[in-house]
Amino acid sequence: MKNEINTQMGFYCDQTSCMGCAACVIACKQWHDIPAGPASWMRVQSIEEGVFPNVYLGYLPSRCLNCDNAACVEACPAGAVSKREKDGIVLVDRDKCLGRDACGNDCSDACPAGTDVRGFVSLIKQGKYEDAWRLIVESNPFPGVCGRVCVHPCESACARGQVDEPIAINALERLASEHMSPNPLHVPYLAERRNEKVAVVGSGPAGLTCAYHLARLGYRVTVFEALPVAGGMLRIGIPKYHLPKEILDREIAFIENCGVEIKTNKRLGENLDKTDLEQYAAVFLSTGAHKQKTLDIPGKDLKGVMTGIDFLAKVNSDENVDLGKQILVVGGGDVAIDCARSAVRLGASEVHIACLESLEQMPANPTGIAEAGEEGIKIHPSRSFSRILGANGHCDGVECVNLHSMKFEQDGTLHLDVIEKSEHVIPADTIILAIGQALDTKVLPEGLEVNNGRIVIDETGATSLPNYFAGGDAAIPEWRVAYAIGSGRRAAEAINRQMRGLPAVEPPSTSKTRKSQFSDTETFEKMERVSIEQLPVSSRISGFPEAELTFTDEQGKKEASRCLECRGMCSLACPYDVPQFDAGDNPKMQKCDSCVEEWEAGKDPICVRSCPTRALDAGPIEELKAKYGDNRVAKNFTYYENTKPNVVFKAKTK
Amino acid sequence: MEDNKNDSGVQIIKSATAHHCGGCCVWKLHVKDGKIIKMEPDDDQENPQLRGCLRGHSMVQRLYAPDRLNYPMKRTGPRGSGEFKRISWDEALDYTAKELNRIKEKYGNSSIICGGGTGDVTMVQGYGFHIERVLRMFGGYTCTWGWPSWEAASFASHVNYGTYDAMNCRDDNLNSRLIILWGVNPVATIHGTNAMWYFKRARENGAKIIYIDPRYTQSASVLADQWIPINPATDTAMVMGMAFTIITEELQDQRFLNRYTTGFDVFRDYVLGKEDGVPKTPEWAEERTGVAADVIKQVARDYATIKPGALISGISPGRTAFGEQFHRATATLAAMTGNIGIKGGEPAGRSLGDQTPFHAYPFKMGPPMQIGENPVDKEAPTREIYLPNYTTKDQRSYARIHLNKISDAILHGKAGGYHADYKAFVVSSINHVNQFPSTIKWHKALQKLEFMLVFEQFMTATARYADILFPTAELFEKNDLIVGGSSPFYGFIKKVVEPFGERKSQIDICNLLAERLGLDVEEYNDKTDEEWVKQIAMGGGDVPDWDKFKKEGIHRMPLEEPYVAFKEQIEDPENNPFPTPSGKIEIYSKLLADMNDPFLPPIPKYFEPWEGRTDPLIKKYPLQMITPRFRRRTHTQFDTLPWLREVQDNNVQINTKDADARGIENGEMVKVFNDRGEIRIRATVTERILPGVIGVPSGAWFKPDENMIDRGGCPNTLNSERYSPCGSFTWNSALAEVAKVGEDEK
Ligand SMILES: Cc1cc2nc3c(=O)[nH]c(=O)nc-3n(C[C@H](O)[C@H](O)[C@H](O)COP(=O)(O)OP(=O)(O)OC[C@H]3O[C@@H](n4cnc5c(N)ncnc54)[C@H](O)[C@@H]3O)c2cc1C
Ligand code: SF4
Ligand code: SF4
Repeated sequence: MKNEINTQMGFYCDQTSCMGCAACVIACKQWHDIPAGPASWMRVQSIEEGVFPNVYLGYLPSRCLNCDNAACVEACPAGAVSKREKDGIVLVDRDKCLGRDACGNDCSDACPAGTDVRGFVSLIKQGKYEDAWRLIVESNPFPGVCGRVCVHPCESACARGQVDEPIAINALERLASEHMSPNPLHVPYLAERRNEKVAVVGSGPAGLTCAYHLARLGYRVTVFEALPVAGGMLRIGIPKYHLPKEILDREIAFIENCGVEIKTNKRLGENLDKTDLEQYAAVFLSTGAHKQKTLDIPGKDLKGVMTGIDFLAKVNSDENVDLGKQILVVGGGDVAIDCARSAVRLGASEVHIACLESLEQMPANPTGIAEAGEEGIKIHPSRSFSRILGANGHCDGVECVNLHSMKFEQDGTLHLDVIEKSEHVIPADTIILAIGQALDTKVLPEGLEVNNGRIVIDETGATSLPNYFAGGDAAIPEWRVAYAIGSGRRAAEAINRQMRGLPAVEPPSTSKTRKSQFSDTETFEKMERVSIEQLPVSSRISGFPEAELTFTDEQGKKEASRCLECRGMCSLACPYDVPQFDAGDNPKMQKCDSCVEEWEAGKDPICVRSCPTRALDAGPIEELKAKYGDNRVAKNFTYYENTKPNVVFKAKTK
Repeated sequence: MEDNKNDSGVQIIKSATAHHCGGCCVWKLHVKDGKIIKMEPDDDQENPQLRGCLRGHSMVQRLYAPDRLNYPMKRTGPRGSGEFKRISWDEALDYTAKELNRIKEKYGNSSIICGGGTGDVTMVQGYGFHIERVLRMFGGYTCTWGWPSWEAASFASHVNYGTYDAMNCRDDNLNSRLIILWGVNPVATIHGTNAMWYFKRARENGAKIIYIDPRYTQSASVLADQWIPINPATDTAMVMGMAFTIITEELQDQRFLNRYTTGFDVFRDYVLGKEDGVPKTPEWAEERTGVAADVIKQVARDYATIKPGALISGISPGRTAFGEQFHRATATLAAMTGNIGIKGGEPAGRSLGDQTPFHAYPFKMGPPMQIGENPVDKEAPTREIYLPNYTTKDQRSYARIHLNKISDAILHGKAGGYHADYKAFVVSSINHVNQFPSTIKWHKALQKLEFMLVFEQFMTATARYADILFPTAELFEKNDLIVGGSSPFYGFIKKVVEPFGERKSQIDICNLLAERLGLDVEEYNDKTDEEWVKQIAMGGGDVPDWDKFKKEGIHRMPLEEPYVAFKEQIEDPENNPFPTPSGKIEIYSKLLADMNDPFLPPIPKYFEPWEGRTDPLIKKYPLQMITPRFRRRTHTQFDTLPWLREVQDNNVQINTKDADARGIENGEMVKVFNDRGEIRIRATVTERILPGVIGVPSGAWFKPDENMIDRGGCPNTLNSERYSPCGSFTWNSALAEVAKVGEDEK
């Protein structure tokens, strides 16, 4: 970048002449019409040292140093800050600036459920735990669920991650959920009741979230659920050691308290049909992906062979499952891992997993794989399965071959590179097939467009049928709770807009063009991430206790205090604290512009022209160096190598 | 108007500003649609440009501050409550005229007090000249005496030199090889725009700067080669110790003393102890000042040998119990070292220029508006401390009240030994309640009045007690004139915009009031403000070109070299005697000898100050309180402006040792108290103040709570009204204690 600059403008300060009077500060404020308050383009810090009567008192006037590798430029996600080629003056484009509050929300932006992450973490930092919960449920009624099972893309986006490790956002969300208001009547603000009725089909996280938001907006919402219990995969899929069912009960109760009516044992296509749904002004389809795929190989109908979803559903509803001694789970995803780990907890002495993928390719979460290993589960990667063996109608093993590699072609066909003569048998008296689920399209209303096994929707959630919206696993490719929640929320918004005759989506006013990048993380204080306590393996596998413990309030506060509270990434990034913000509504970044207009008119900046002791100067940096000597560091001033400020000081010594 | 308008409709007009800040600066004002939108230093000026400070730059905010008084007001709540309602100018003027007439008839003219006016130091509209002239024509009024800022320095200067125009201009300090700054903090007090810059350049030129002050100030941080912290109110003792060293080491300039002074022998005998048996040795001085004897000797030798040397005798050491002795002593030291009337020297009597009338250069001005002789002054004899040349006899009439004693006089009247019983109080451009000692006494006194009129810009502590408030115009809303206190120039403070709201200039208000009072308006004032500016600036011949002056806002006196006071007297003493009775510098003053006041002796002497370290009261109140000026305001002015408020916190400075002994933490709210009152203020715990001393910034706005505890932190709540023998205020002679605020006291 430096080479492009023709004449780098610089700044000079004679610390021996600066008397700390702040005339430059006021001159700058009045010249640029900046009100009193935090945004000050020019600042004077004082430095006091020594013990009476040997004291040192110095001052450090500072303003934007128009750094060579300006950290603010790199950090701005909107591309609003730039360094001018002709003189290296760093300028901010206020139209592009997102404003302090909207800027730097990378974690919140990354949350598929739309949680105000920065907001709730900062509330925890202040010890306002219940307020943190309240803020989360503004968007996501399932903080207790998400705080346990979410894959937390927010943490990958967290700016602190550039400094050391990301904030433990997920664990903090879980802590916040523990502070859910104990009073069931303490529901969030509800709009006035409206007459329109909305039906939601499927009570998984997508459906319940959509219902929750619609209820809060005043609609009369009924959720129809095929099963006798509400919660979808949260209820019947995700094992209890990940998600204790009391947590789910608590959050569903909260949703019901907001006015959502849930009718169980109502299956669309069976005891509920399109005509029943006609009385509803809108319908949200969120039936999930509950059809278990099976292996189409001989022996699949033998006794002892079951699907993963069935197995987990039974375990989750405390039904008795006949487990043998040697369990083999077939599949490489999270569901397979969950099945295997559940089997361990049911007391199975030997649990194996076998899958097509190599260890590296396994789609399951690596932590889950590692924990499975700790719990004694053996994994047999890179296998293809030819048949299930059995005797007396009961299975007793699977015949496999080893694979060099496997891959899915672009069109979805599977390509296997088999190792010849590697046939072998993995013995098993229970075989759980967890090789994927699919949407049950049969039950869907006629005329609904389906493609690639998913209901086709636009970005608002609208389907091909008028007044029909869809979300969750049934309609989106990301099969994760948070995405399901996000899709439900978006659809609720779209349904509301449709009912009120508003345009479908509001065009975003400002946008980010890139990710905030800190070019110099040395300026940040490193702080260790508070670790989450885990149960030891032995107690973990005896039954279904939660493996991870919740933060204590103190731990949470400590962890939250690591949050950089990214508001205005430029100001965080600038090692000299130059970019600042006005008080007031959505203020834009304020920063010294080196009096660029004056400069162009051949005048010095106002600060330079105002110093009563003529301590300041400005001009091309080379000229300043020639005039005052090369860069000498001012007392109590640290240059950050990466930002190399264009400033010359005459330093004051004691 | 005179300058070009640019494309965006912005007109640039040059104008000077001056407050009672000690400076005068020239600006280019950017005016658009009848409003000043911003301002910049006037860089068209020849070098050196008169650069303003932070207060100057905040004039835009001050001009349009939301807490400005924009309309005449009438009090609706109790006195001091600050509850007022807006009224019309007609009503305000009629009511005022009616009340003044009634009080005059019932109690006589002497029952009306008016005086002060130093909050506005401009030459046309300032100092309350106008209202005082109106009241004089109305039959007279009780006037005041005593300059709050300069009494000790001016008095001493008159004794030694016969005039208070006794200082070199600041640019002459570039010729000095030694500068002793004694109680001088130009960062806050300015004392001549560019003063800091000249001192700094002098230091860069190689001058040694010795800085004597109980505080290590911002000025010290830039200027001091040596900082000498000294116990407040003992400065004269150090001067005596220096004199002892110079005399015993025979370093004095005897030729100078013989030729230009009288009475050095008497002073020498006093210093050596021949008069009272107490030799004023450096060790004797160390005991009092806390400054090591060796250091005193070194400073004495420096001053006697590094020539030329300028001892700048600041006014704060003069604002103590026997403050005039300090200035008399430093002037004597200047004579002993032969530093008078020479380049780079300094007469050291009153070494700091403010603005009108305290300036270095002898301007030849046309006459300003005259108050005229006040009949009430004639009702009583002249006080004993009257010095011819300095004041008229009337100005020391017993009918006058010392500015410090107004509250006492209102409370006690004739029964208290005052000339009259006082019923009405007319206040223009001054904030008595806040800025004169014993604030709580003021609160009580003002309740007794039958009528109080205040001319103001803001709802100050004093304004809160008024019956009628006249909103006055700001600089730039009226024409006015100022001269440089320590540089020879005239500044034109121009009317650039119309007064905002219903503000009016003093001159306009007084014209209306004179009419309402049935006075001869023509006789009272026959000029507009601009005509006054012209008469004063050009009437004596100083400003030759009116149009140029008006356009540029400044006229500099054309001088070949920096102005040096008493140059003629020193170069040619035969033809240029000093304006003293003897024609010489009077180290011994016969005038004072004739006054026969043991505390105003003919030669400078040291007296143990009351409320100093030797006062038994120190057992009860162990800390010496000084009341330094504060950079973000000029006395009380500017203090409500948000830009300036965030510059610095209004805290009491206390040394770490004293704070630790009291368990006080930096930034903690503490109480500072003595028998006169209590204030609440946050503490700045610092190493930059002498242990045993606290610095409460002056000018904080008095805000009493229901128990009369001042939550605003105004030091006058704690200061004493006792004035020095010559009439100087004693703001730096007060004992107090600091303590944590108890849970139940918050
Ligand atoms: C074992 C397992 C573990 C998982 N672990 C995680 C995890 O750790 N983290 C994570 O983010 N995601 C995890 N997921 C994925 C996550 O659970 C789903 O993405 C999410 O539940 C989808 O929500 P949904 O509302 O779209 O559907 P679902 O939760 O599947 O809910 C759909 C609901 O619709 C009902 N329904 C279906 N058909 C009908 C009909 N015809 N009429 C009426 N009702 C009907 C179903 O009974 C069900 O209750 C896991 C999934 C499984 C299976
Ligand atoms: S000082 Fe700060 S604001 Fe200025 S260029 Fe450098 S990083 Fe950017
Ligand atoms: S606040 Fe700073 S980083 Fe954020 S958009 Fe504005 S200029 Fe860019």
